Amino acid sequence: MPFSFTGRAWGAMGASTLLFILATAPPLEAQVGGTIRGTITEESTQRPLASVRVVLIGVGRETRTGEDGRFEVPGLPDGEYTVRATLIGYTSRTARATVTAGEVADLAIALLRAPIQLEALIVTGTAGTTEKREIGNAISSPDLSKVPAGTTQNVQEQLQSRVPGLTLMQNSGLVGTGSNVQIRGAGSLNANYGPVYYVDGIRFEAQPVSTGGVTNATVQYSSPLDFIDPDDVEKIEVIKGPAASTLYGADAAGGVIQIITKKGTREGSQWTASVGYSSSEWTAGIPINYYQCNAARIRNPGTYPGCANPGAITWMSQDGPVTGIPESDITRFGDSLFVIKDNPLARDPHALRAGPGAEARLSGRGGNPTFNYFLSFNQLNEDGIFFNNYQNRTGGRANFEVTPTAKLNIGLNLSYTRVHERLPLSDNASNGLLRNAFRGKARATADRWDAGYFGFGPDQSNEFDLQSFEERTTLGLTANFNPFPWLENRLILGMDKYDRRDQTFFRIDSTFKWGATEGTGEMTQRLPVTHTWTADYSGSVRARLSQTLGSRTSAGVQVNSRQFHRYTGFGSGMVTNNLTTLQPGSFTQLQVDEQLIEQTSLGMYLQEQLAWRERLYATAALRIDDNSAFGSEFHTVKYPKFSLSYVLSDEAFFHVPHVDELKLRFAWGEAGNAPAPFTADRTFAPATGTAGDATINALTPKSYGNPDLKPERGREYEAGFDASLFRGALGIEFTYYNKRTVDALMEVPDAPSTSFDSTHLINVGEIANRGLELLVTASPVRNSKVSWDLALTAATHHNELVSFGGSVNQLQFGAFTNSQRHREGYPLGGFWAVDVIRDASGQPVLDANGRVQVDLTCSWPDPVDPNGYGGSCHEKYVGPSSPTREFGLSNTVTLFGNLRLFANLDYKGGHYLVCAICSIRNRINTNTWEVANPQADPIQVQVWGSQQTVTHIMPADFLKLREVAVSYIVPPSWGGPFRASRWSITLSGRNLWLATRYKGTGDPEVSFNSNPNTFDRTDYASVPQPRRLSATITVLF
Amino acid sequence: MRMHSIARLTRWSCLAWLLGPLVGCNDILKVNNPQQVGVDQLNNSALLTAEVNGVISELENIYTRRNGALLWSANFLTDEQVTGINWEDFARVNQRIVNYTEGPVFSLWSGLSRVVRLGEDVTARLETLADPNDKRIATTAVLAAYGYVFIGESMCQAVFATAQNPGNTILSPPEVFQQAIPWFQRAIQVATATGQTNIVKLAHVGLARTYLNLGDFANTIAEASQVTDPAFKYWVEYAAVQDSQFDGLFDRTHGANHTMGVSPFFLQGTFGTQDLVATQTDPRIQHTTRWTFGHNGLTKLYKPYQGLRFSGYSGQTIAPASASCPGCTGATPDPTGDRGPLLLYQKDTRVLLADYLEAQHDLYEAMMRQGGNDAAVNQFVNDRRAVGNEPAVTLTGPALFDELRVQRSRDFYQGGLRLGDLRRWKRDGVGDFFPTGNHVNQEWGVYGIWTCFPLPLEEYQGNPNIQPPANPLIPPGI
Repeated sequence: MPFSFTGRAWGAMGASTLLFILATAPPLEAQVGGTIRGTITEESTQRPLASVRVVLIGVGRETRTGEDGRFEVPGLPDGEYTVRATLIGYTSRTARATVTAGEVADLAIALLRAPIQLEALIVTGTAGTTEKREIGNAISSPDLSKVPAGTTQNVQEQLQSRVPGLTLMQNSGLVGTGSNVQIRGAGSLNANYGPVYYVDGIRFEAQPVSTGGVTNATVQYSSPLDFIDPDDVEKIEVIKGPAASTLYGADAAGGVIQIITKKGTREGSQWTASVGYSSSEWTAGIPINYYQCNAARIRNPGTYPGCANPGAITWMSQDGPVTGIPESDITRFGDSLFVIKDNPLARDPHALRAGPGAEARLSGRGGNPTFNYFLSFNQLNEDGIFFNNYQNRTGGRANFEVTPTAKLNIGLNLSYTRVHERLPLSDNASNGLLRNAFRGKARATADRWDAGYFGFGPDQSNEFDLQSFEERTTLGLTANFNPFPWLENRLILGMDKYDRRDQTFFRIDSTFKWGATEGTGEMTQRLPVTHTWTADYSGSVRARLSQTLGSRTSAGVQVNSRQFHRYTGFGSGMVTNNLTTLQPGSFTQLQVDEQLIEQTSLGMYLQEQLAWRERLYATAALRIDDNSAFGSEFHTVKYPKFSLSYVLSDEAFFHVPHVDELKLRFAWGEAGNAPAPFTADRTFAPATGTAGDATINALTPKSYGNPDLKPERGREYEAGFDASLFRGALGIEFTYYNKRTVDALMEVPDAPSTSFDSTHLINVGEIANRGLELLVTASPVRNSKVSWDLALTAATHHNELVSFGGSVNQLQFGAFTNSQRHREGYPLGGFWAVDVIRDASGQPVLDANGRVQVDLTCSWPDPVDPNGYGGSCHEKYVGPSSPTREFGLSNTVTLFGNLRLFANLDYKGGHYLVCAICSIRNRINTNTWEVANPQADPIQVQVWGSQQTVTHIMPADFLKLREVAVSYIVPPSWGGPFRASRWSITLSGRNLWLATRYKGTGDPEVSFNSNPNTFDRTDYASVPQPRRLSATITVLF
Repeated sequence: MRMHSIARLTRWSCLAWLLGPLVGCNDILKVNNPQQVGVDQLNNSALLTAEVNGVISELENIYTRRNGALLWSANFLTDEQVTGINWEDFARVNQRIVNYTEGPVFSLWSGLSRVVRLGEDVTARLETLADPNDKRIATTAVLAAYGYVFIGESMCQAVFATAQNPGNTILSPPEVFQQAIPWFQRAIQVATATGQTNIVKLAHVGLARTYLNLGDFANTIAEASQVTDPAFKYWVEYAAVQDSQFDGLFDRTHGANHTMGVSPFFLQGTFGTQDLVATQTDPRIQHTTRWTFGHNGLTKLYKPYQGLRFSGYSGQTIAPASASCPGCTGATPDPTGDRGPLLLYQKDTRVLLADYLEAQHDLYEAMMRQGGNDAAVNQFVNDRRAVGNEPAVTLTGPALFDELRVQRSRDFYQGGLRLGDLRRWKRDGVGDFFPTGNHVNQEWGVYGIWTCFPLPLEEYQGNPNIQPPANPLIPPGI
């Protein structure tokens, strides 16, 4: 059962506590010898720098500075020491100190800001730990230190608009829902085009998860990234394409995101506690419903009571039930012609709410040279704007590191998180609140449940009870063994276990409003368990080939195994609402289902890096992969890689004014995208039938398969530079990339006449992506009183389906409007619009019945122009569905060292979104002003009410004030009574302002189809991102 | 130097150690797939019965359960029902507007294709692996034959695959009906040899239906005359055990999102009126007395009670006995429709695939169209009118044929035969009785021109041997 790990989790916590006690006991050697003590400041402002890593080189001792910038390393034998100070965002500096027993050696070190950190250690996409200067591809690592406490509640928000080339679109404003993530555009049609995720080297299952199908329901996917508390994150490394992800093999063509959690320190300890409160509200525009009451409707009180007698309609207001539609909601055009307007979501207190949230965190890190730890606990309770939407998260993390000798280091990482969330029906769900509110007829018609709602009102819709109970346990072991200075070995073993129980419950209901079966009382339990195992070995041997040429030869093996096992139990015909366990006697009907999917990949690589004078690095690598999902006729796949990195600024001849550091880089490489498990096989599956009044077991066609199936191959080159200028005041990272996917997996329909009626994968397509990425960090103002830091990320994306490989001419899709196409020469999932037939002057051409006409013949290549779509075709290309340009701008202003102001703007543009709900409101519900206005041009009303899509596919560019925060660091004297070394108060807001040309239902970022690998971008009453206001108090001990 | 040697040795040792596992890596990649069987295992004789059951299951699916079910959305083209579904693409079909990229087209075609392809495939396996006269062949052969019949009646065109390849010839409905004949004959042969008399009768009724659609009245009469047992019924079965066994019409007529309603062409009363009681005199077409809104909140839906083609048919009427309807029974429907005497479609409601009455109808239509049989046809018509609480009539010629068709429509109401009948009469020049004019939902406008379902886009995209139509908006035939 999913919760059997509870006891083990408590045991782990207890062990952690014991270890903590041991770790904080001062070591014996601290009691004698000399001491090195110092202060580390920022060169330009002389401000003390906290959390600077201070290492005594060659001694194995290190510590960190406190909030006052001071550090101390006691108990040192007499001698000369080299002290190196390192902090992200600054150039490392060394200083020498002479220690005598019983005395203190004082140091003062000033660090220069370095927006590009060539000494930063990178673990993602590299064979072992490597300095950034040696790497030829772009590596992005968002500066999380600038993000104030309480501003982000999950890792999705940490990633949003902070990494050039990473496009993250949150599908819904509901709490607990997931995002669609692309790095450098969509490189795949039918394999997973998103990145793969690792946490501390362990493969982490992070694709948004469906909670399962529910009758007449649309429920957004939930996000497994929510299991990671953002405060546990030390660093996120993003590598973006095949040029960088070669070492991850047949999985990583979409890039890799590695989340590195905080670790302990080798001296002292520090504890942090925080509490926060938040409130979320729907602030995007809510469409207003209009309904025309004409003479015919006024004479039909049975169907249109609101038209016949507006004064008799009872409806729900903020003050309770009201009888009579007020005149202010009626626009009159004569005695028998008027229009009623209504906004049920705004007036009905049962519809939406301001969702409160609360969070608490406690974390601590510390240790000694032999053992260190990081412990954390977090609790988050967040209510969404829907009454039946919330997420409660409780979790903890324990990271330990043992260094028994200078040659061996072992890290143990354990995390455990529980999430309980409830998701409402949303978007298109027939019984969902938004669908019925947006399609309501302004209280004019005889509404079944609540006046003004097309179907269910909030009291009915909010009964929907879908809850997920989730547990996530991640365990990792990392061992670094360097028996010789020239030999490094790293072994990572780990497991990620993700247990869920998705429960859908319908009470016994004699009205049967939820359905005939649901009304008898229904319970569904889905228990998916996902295990992911990781085994990763890498070894490197360094050698000096000559005085100027160094060599590093690396090799490695990776095994990733995933097992998905889901049990589903269903019961209907409940005896009573209190007996809900799925057992005979509680239900008249019980059925079970089981699903098992396994996949294993095995990869090996060999890499050689040559370093010339520690400034020019050339790396070549080859990876070989095999995967259980490959077809039986296909065996291994090989991915090569080559990169160059040249730190030009290290050359003696380099004297470019104001340029502190300059690194040129180039990378070329290949990586893959494996097909889903078992898609290569042709199979039959069990089914049931009835014969002779008995249940019969049957076999029916399941999967058409393809024995020649192989992974897609992504091939990419990128070139760019990293530069630091004006003594660290300006940093620039620029990259051009060009990526091509060949043997792209294409999902083509099975010909139903074969008895298979799904789709199968073939390797025929070719997809191209190219673009530019820019990261600019600057400190325009920096002195002891005021500092201003800004970070600008920008990216362009050009995506194109180069070829279908002759398999098909196009694929068309798109919920409700069928307006998206995969078509050669255009971006994947582009929008194509259809207009009414017009004459040369642009006027609609009417048929014999005086009706406008919509020509849908362009569902197939035009017979006149089969290779193009001009001529007599009335369909035209509008634009892509994914952003082609984006930027993020963060500003941090610090005043007098205590007051910090932060703001983050997020822009995405160049793409489109179809407002399907707008189309349906016009055509079916006729409740928009465009069609309800009796003074509107009747032909134009017909146009709005037709199947044309040209007015409903709209630009989805947006500029959002994504985050704003004000933080005040309370002076240390105030913290005295609490023994706190520092505490701060942060007021923050999220999604505070939106500018967009999109005129649909509020937020162009959302989509009703939250499948993580979909191209379907449709707004069907999708929930916009709410505005969230937070207040957080953080205390450091 | 020694360190260099060690380094070099270590380097090569590491390489060898890493390459070693390559030799034995295949075991790591072995994974289980215990929820499916590969096609290479289908020749296991232990699985043959399950494969036979697969054919039965697929027929049950396409009859009522699939989104493109014969008795539901495939019936939208006829005058039997109006729909309250709010899936626009499906709703358009009820307006006789069909697009091969949407609606029930794909589901219908794929469901029917599965019956045919599986029926043929399993028959071939039985003949090879079991016995050429294995009794199960009678089942698979007759169901494959019915698959052809349903395709001929529903689809504008068809293409059929073999075990190895998709087909490359598009067939017209008459060509499709021709495909059914040898399969019915094979079923008769095996069923006769193995004493399965019900399947023998089923096949004869199927042949009669096939020949009638081909305009071969002599053979229609010959085959229909083989069925002499008035008690003969062959059911498509369902059970209330689990979702996958339910009669799919249950959900269409229950709950707040019900979608099925009697159309004005068959309604016993004025469409839009509430409390239709006294006018419901024909027990074969009983419906709720009041309309309700269903899934789309727009269509007035009078939910049908089970007719003659359904196992819960009661023969009762809501209309009370009266001078004009002495046979009426004045039954009071239970508000839920689930407790009799008049029943909505239940989870375990069985539906006729064929019965004696159907054979009789085919017989008499063939006789009518052959000519010279008015008296016999008139007698049959009056027998049926009596069931409907209507007085006897004396008719001849076209008027008699009209009445015969009316009685057929009532006897077979919602039973999945109406589309084939309407198409046959239009194709044969008898008359065009498809619904025309304004749909009951004024907002939807007038009816379109479609009378059948085209091959779906998926067939053209998945089958490289056939080309799509030049203009998919034009129906490719009647």
